[in-house]
Amino acid sequence: MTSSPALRVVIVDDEEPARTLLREFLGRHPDVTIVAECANGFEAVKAVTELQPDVLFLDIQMPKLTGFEVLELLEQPPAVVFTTAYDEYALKAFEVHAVDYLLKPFTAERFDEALARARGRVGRESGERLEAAAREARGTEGSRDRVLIREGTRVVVLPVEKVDVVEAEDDCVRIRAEGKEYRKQTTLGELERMLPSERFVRVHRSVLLNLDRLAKLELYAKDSRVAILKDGTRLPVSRAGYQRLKELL
Amino acid sequence: MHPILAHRDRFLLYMAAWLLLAAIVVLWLSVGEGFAWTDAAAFAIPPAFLLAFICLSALYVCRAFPLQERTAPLVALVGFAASALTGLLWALGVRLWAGSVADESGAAGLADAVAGAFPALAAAGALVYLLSLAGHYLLITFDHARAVEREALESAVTAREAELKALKAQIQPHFLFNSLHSISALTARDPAAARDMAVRLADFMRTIIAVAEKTSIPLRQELSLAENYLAIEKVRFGDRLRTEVDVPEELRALQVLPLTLQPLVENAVKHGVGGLTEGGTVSVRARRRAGLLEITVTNPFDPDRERAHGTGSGLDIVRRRLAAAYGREGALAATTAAGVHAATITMPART
Repeated sequence: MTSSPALRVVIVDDEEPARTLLREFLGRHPDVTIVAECANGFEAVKAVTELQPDVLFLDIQMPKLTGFEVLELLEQPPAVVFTTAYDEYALKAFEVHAVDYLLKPFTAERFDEALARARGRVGRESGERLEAAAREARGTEGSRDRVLIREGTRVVVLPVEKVDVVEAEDDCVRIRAEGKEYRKQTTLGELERMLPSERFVRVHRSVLLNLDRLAKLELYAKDSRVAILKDGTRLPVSRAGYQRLKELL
Repeated sequence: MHPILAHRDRFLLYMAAWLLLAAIVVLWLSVGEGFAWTDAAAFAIPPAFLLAFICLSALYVCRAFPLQERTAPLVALVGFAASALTGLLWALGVRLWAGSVADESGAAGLADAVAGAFPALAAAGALVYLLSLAGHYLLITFDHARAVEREALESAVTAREAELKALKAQIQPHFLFNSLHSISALTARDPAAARDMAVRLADFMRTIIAVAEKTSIPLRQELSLAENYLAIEKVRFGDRLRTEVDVPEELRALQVLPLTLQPLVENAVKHGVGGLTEGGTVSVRARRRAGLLEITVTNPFDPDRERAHGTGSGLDIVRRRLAAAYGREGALAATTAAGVHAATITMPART
């Protein structure tokens, strides 16, 4: 054990006693360094982005962001061990390729097992695979009521009703809301699946529109139309997009 | 099934009544009119029973024209028409029967008498059928009222069962598991605190189970349940959870419906303060106002997360239980303003 390289760990739990316990259990492993302790999701995103640890012990129910949302926001997530009192998230945890799922309360032996698994994963896992895990985390939830965006180490939480338009860019999407623009590492299709379908319509291959912002539609050429938003913005509407709009309006 | 044929005692009573009627007719024919006993009986009893069974058919008329769904003139019209027709047909039958009885016994006077009294017979038949119709309407109404009563009773029983289930659900397993996890964490660092928390948790669970069966407990006890709960959660949440209790001493003896304040406090922690990184204060305040006891629980919450959690069915259960226990005097009102959630339960201030 001592021969392996040091393992850098981040602990995330909003409850102090729970963090204490993790600290105690980790203290028995001399090669482990706790590089950060976080009490909420925002801190976790910041710490992981800045410190790039090997292993993340992650609670699920926390203020601001859930553990799953934290994972969604990480581009290159470390090996993740979820710790929670809720057994109903176990399936989802494995869908997002968690290394292990510790149900509170857990014993030191069970904890060691999880740590050993995480250790095994650290050596083997390629960055690509972990990135796939994060992508998975982004796609697992159905219709949601907010969009999470990471700007550097800062997290922006956007309620869906504040989103005006989402447009596809090269390898990300551009989200316009409240007069600002945000970029998120995802595809328009993924975002379309996440956002409530009764409010957001794919009016064009590269445009997802919040119906509430639509002022009127104008015929532009023979089969193409232009959507004019309440703030005057003009957006292209494809024929298929027009069909979808007609169905909803 | 016919409400008279379906019940043995009803059917026997019905037949006995008809037998009595037939006996009166036999008596009148033999003593009053001077016919032979045997002739009178042979003549009178079969038509009586025929009419008895014909009258049972009134049920189908009643069912086809229910009082609640059809207008009164229509019901009356149908009733009179059906009665007149029945009376006429029955009288015709009686006349034929009298003829055949007379042929066999030679009591020609009987046949003549029946022929002479034909209109009276028809009228009597119609009247009896009309009475039967009225009786059936009465019977249907009676049975209907009983069914309604039984349904109400059954639904009350189901509601009670649902309530018990809800109470059991109140003891949130997640709360239990998280608390046990905290105890596990405390054992190494602070054994005394761990022990203290284990005892508090046991107290809490024991009280919940004990009060769940009761219809009312002193506010003092409900309050101590809530305070115990908050004390346990304070170990988990540390400084993030602050509490304020403002309940005047004189109100603590009032009787309240058990497990009404506790769910409110639990909600305030779970969906309120628990979702805030900086935490907040859960406050409990009780006041007496115009004969009512008002208990308000307030807590700050994260507006971003409000809908993500949904305001659980826990409060709905409390609301329904208050309404069931106190009628219009029992209520739960929840308001949200400026990042603060307030839930107020109201019930009669009784000692």
